[in-house]
Amino acid sequence: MTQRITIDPITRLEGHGKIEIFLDDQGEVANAYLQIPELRGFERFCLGRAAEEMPRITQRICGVCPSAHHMASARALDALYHVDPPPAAHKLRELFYNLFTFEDHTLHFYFLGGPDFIVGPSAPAAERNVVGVIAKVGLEIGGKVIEARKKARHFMAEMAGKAIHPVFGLPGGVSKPMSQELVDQIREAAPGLVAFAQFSLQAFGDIVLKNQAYVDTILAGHYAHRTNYMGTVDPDGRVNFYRGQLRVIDPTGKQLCQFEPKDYLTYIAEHVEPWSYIKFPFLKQPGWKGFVDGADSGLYRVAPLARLNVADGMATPKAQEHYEQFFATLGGKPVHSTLATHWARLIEALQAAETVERLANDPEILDRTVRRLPDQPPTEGVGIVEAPRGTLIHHYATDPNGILTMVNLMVATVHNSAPIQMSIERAARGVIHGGKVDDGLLNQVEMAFRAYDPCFGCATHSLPGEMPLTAVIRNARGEVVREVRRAPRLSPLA
Amino acid sequence: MVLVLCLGNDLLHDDGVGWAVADALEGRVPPGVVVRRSALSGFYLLDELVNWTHVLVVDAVQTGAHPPGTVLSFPFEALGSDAGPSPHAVGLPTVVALGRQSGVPLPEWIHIVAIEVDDMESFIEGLTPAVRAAVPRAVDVIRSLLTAAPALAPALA
Repeated sequence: MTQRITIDPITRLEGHGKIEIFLDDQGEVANAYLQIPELRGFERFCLGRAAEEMPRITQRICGVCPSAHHMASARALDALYHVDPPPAAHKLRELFYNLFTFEDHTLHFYFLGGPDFIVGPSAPAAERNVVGVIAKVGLEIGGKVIEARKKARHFMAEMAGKAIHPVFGLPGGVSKPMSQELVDQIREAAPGLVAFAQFSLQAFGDIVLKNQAYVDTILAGHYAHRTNYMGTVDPDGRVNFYRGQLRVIDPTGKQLCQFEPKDYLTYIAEHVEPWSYIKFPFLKQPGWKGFVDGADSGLYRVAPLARLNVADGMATPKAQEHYEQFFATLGGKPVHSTLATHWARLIEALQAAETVERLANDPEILDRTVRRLPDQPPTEGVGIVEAPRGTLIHHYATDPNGILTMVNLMVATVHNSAPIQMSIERAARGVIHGGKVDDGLLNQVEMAFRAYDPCFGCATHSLPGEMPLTAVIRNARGEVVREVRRAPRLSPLA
Repeated sequence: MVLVLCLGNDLLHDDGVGWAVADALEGRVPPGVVVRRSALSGFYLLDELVNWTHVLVVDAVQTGAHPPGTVLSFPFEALGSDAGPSPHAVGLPTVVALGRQSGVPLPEWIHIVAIEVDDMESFIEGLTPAVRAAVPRAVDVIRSLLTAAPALAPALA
């Protein structure tokens, strides 16, 4: 007889993640399942529409990373229409995309992921936030973060029409060339973006790396999974967010494969479980071996840590210095600790800022030829970018008139779904013993989520916007013996 | 100046109600009021709120406690403030609380007009009938607030 615990969102029953934990007769965790509902009907919604609409439609999937969907979609349209954008168009897209990566990574570090680290993973939740970060890093940091991001978003809006929902990427190029006035502004601001990323890494070094207890936490087995890793590399094997080939390494760091985006289905397949709407991607070689890590695991992870693990180095000199320090400090490649993702993210933010500076000083960025018109009928195309949270794949097929007949998207959360599943089970096993569910259950499970920053149907964002969770603990007879509830408090119009 | 910030996603059925309200407000707000649409969520809402002193947020809500189409109007402070388990699921209360504490210039006055919805997880354009019928009522509530809320008088003067 097993006992069943359900952590279930209460206000949007099908809109968010759901965790079910099954206990055995001794009250120990027998199994833990994470269910991430799919957004319903997305493919059906797209079919029959013109493919050119996809950069506009797909960016609405997510209220957090629309720029990533927009760019993956534009890359897929290039392939679909068999047209390679002119060099200036690639550079403009890359400039835009690195501005996005910089602002997203810095926001994530200071407001979202960083508090666990800067303030400390064992600090009370009330202090584990940006306020705690300010207390450690200095009062002026809130303003610095806002100022740096404001500049980046201003440039994105000027380049793309809108920072939030860009109208920029088109099959074969971009919608408008760079102006002298704007590039002058970006050139002037870029050293400040680089300096801010360096400041953030310095703060991370002073606060985290000089504290052995924090380093030990990063390296602790509790937060580690020995998986394969996947990420995009440029022709020199260095980290690239905008384009390149996908490289996969095994848990020992040995390269398993490297391939063009269009060939992803040769290497990746999706496993289906009866209890989940979401599919679990795995490497066809070595194959699906279940929710296990280690030498024979078919599971892989994406995101900043994975990108650093697969690459031979960073693409920019200052970031490269930190890349070398990263692996020297954490015991060589690959690093398996999920929590090291936070450090990797800052190194990537520095590369993004340096790339912005390099491209803003590239004379070709002002070239007026920013689009090559397609002259062949569309067929099928795959576009891949590295979103802040990991590899993002858009795959479309159309009829000869460009009307969509097939749409397949794989977002970072999908790639990471099986490892997230393992992390949750590990957290549950750490918390629940003898049938007693500690008050820390919710927070422990949240910590497992937080490391990945997963996206559960994030396109909707109804108020209050928090993910409501209820932990329901049932005894062996299925009776509710305890309930921990989070719920929005709302009152109707009087 | 007062910002009416209409949140939503018009590709996700009833989640588009905020934008439908924005459409219906066109040309029907007092001078000094700016109506904007946004599909952002989480901490990205900070960018929408920064440097405004008075903001009226219009959004979909699904409490399950009211029939679809119910228009709710309440001060921002009535929203719960528990943080979600994922940074992706960080909500407006957390965004505002952390933003204020870190010195970001955020509105001193925030009021919420929320419309209880039926379905906002299906990729369908257009609203369900009950929610569509609520749009004029939400507009009336918003227009009343904009003309009668004492807190807004200085901002619109």
